[in-house]
Amino acid sequence: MARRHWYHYAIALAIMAAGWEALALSLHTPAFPRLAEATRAFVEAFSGGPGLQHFYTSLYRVTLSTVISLVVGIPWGLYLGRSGGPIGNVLVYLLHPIPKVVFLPVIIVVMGIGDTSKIFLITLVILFQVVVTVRDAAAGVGQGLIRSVKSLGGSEWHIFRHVILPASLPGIFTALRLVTGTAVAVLFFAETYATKYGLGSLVWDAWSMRQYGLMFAGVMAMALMGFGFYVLLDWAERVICPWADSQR
Amino acid sequence: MIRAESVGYSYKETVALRDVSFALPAGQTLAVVGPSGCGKTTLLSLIAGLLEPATGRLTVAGQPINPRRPGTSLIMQDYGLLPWKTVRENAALGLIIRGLPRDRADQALAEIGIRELGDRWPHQLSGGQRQRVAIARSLALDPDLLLMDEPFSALDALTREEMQDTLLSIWQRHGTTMVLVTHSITEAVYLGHQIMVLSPRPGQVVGHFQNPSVGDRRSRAYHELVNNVRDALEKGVAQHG
Repeated sequence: MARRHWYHYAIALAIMAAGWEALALSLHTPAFPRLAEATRAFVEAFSGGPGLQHFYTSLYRVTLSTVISLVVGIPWGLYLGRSGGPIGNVLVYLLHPIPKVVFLPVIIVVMGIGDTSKIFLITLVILFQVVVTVRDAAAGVGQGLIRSVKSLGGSEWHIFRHVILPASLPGIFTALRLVTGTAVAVLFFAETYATKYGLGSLVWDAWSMRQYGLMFAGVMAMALMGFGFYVLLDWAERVICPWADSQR
Repeated sequence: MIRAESVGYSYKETVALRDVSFALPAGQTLAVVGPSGCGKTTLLSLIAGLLEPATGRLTVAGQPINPRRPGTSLIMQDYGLLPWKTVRENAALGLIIRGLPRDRADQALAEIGIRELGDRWPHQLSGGQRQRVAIARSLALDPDLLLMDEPFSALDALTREEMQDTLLSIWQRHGTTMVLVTHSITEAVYLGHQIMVLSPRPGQVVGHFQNPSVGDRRSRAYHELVNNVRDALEKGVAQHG
């Protein structure tokens, strides 16, 4: 991956703005406002007060879900990739494609309608992406390096600490990039019920009141949140995996 | 140092080694020569204790083989350097695993002439430099038995001779017992006090030579021995291949 500069961001933004305007002009419907209108609504909504509260609430839910999915999914994926039997893998294959959203009624019954159920739903959706990505990264570790650590007298712990874990780190970052995007997208669903705050509910309410400018302001905020995660992750990967960075 | 009596090993139905016997006194070097797939690597893995012999008896320093034996150090064909560790961290890996102070790694890097590369990543090094890191990692552990699997096969001819000289000087300074697996006859005769020739699979000893001309590429004895080893190798291939 080449290093990015500010003008790369500027050019990408310009392409997106041009695409937006072209679409808005050709559709010519209030359901898809012009960029200027959406931007105005965005500035108005997020310059303070409830807008930021929406943003922070969603940010909290996405971050916590991601952390939980990592804490559960990384060991699970490492285990499946290194020593997991066929049963564990079949289970993951069966569970991964299930649309987790259908469990929403059950989740609400068990966990209530508060934050817990929302965070659980998001975690459930992204968890298997973590498991599968980390599992494949761990399974791809070369036998030669394991032998090398063994021949130095290394125990299973040393093999894990010096080979499996570092070899899986780039895969873990790939998983993170996948799931933060998904988690933000799932907000829209998780925040449709019983919440005052959250970007999902902001979009949902604006939609039902046909305030399309505000609706797209919420969408923009989601995009920005996802974008922020990517920038943060790229930076973290450079710090944590310097060897991979110098290979580029 | 090493005593092998009728050692044999099989991978499932394939017999890799059959009836291999030799004795290597401490402080001597043994070069094992043979065609590809003759079980040379298997023999090293057995001595390193990574595999158990199926038949026969194998002892190192009078003890049955043991993968945790602290004095044994194995250098693998692909060097086994971890891409996510710098040269210094790679050289210190054995020390870290054994809970020993790391400064011996710096000494080893200095001894082998690559101290200034300590902060590089393995992928930034040439083949010869990587080989040196692998040797430094072993030396840091102050081994009494050094096992090497085709250590120089990936190097160009000049670097290769340079590394052979480096290895020879390490042996002269430390008196380390060494077992070196190679498919190069000249390398075997340059570095081995003993030269053992294996036949194609299943690997059997088809020649065993004592070598008085270690470390001399120009003497008559060297060239004669090279020819003798070549004869044994070709006869082994003709009979078993």
